[in-house]
Amino acid sequence: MARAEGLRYVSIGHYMPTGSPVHRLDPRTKLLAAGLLTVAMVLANATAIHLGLLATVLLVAALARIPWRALFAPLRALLPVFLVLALFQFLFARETGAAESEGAAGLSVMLLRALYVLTLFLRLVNVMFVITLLTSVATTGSLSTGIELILSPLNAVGLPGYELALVGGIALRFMPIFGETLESIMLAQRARGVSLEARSSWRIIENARTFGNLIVPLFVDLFRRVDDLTLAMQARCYQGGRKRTRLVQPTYRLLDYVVISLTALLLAGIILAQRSS
Amino acid sequence: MKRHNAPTRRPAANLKRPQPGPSPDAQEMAIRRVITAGLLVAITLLLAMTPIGFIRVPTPGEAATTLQIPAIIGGILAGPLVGLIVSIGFGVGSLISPYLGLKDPLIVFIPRFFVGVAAAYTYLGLRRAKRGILLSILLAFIVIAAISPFLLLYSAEIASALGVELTEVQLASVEISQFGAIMLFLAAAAIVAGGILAFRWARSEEVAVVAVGAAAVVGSLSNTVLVLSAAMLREYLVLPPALLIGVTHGVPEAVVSAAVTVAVVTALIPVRARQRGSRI
Repeated sequence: MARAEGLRYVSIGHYMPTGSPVHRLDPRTKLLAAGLLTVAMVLANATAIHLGLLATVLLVAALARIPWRALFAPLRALLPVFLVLALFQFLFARETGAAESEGAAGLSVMLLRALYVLTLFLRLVNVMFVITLLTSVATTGSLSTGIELILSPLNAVGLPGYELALVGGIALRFMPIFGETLESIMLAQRARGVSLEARSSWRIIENARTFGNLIVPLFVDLFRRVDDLTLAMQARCYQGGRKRTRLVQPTYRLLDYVVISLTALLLAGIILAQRSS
Repeated sequence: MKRHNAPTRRPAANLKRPQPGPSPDAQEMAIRRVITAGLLVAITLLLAMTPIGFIRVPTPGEAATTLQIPAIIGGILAGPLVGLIVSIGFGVGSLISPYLGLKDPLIVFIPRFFVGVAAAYTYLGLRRAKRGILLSILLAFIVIAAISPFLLLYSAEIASALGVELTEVQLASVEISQFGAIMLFLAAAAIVAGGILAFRWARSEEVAVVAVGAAAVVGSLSNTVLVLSAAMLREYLVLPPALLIGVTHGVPEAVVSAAVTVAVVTALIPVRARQRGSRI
């Protein structure tokens, strides 16, 4: 079980203002580029493409002057879990299309499987890097604004675009707050003598009970916050998003169009390459 | 000073409302739904990023997830729409979590949309049911769980008896080794035993509370079943390991989801009884 300290710093990455050209992009551009890259990573099957995407992400990180340490940190927690998953894949999975196409006569089955597992690993690493990068070059506030602007066409169709964007914004903003709450719950329960240590894997019931001791107070706190927030928004005459305006309006510039076009071309290229192989 | 969590009052009848539009009740419910969804997504993402969100289970997959619980609670307490939104958050959380290895969205993202919705409709359907009907449904599920290993083992024979043609691939995929068969029987026995315990619990509880527990189990199982089916369709897994994971992860997940959801809802009843529009 995690130690109590440090949970308040949980968020999907830390904003690092290095003032690079990447930071100056419109938040919608950052979101769209990250989204398109993620789609490319998910669709791609060939190892070579994943390596190319990894190089692209690392290049962008270098342009944004993000230190490597920040990018690789989440991986350390990931590695043990992935190794177990990889072992499982190795023993049980069947070869998929890409592995078959790369497997001309002469490559043994084991090598094919290893290649397949490597592809999975690269995909995982790529997606993690993109998300870390996105949250490192944009504040959660600007990401919220970006989501709201991207979803705004939904309002014309009758769907609640503003409300969905608000949901995203609230979620981003309250993650560290709930982290703090969880920390205090852990300390309070510990002070009451409630055990918080995770036992071995076999003692499922005890682990579940430990989990329950932490989660139930967290949810009760959540619904109390719902009441507070509802009252606060009503007191500020929140009428829904229809007539709201913004202090800082993000605007597109030339670099934004360039970035979006390049990313879209990259995705299209990858899709075409997949089709033809 | 008025306590901030006292119930709000209706506007007096002769006050002119400043704007035409939905009544304060509807608007307050809309705001409340948005906020509930947002906060539940926040908890989901938090659970995804910390080790708290997973319970260690001794299987190759290493941990059963508890990320579906906020989605289930959202569906039960705030309706299917909130359940859907938080389930989407669940999908996003499982994509970005550093603790979950599999990142294919067709497997971990889209199938998870239905968790909150399934829980919501199950709860809505069951909460006013007569006790007898509820218990009969529970019994039916226990019986089905007991029979299903046999159905699976003899699926080839059943299909030919019904006159259904199965392709080579489909036949191969339902072949179960002896080891697998033993596991299946053990799993069925465990489910039946658990079902009997659940039945005894259900008989002593109010219908609404049992409905909450059932909705939580349905929500959690929909996650397990849909995700593993997608994994099989995308050819990540064949049937035996999928069943193994389904039982060793799915059953603890369902039980924990039910326990936590019931605990949370019963803890909230005194709080929500003071509000208008309480769903309990």
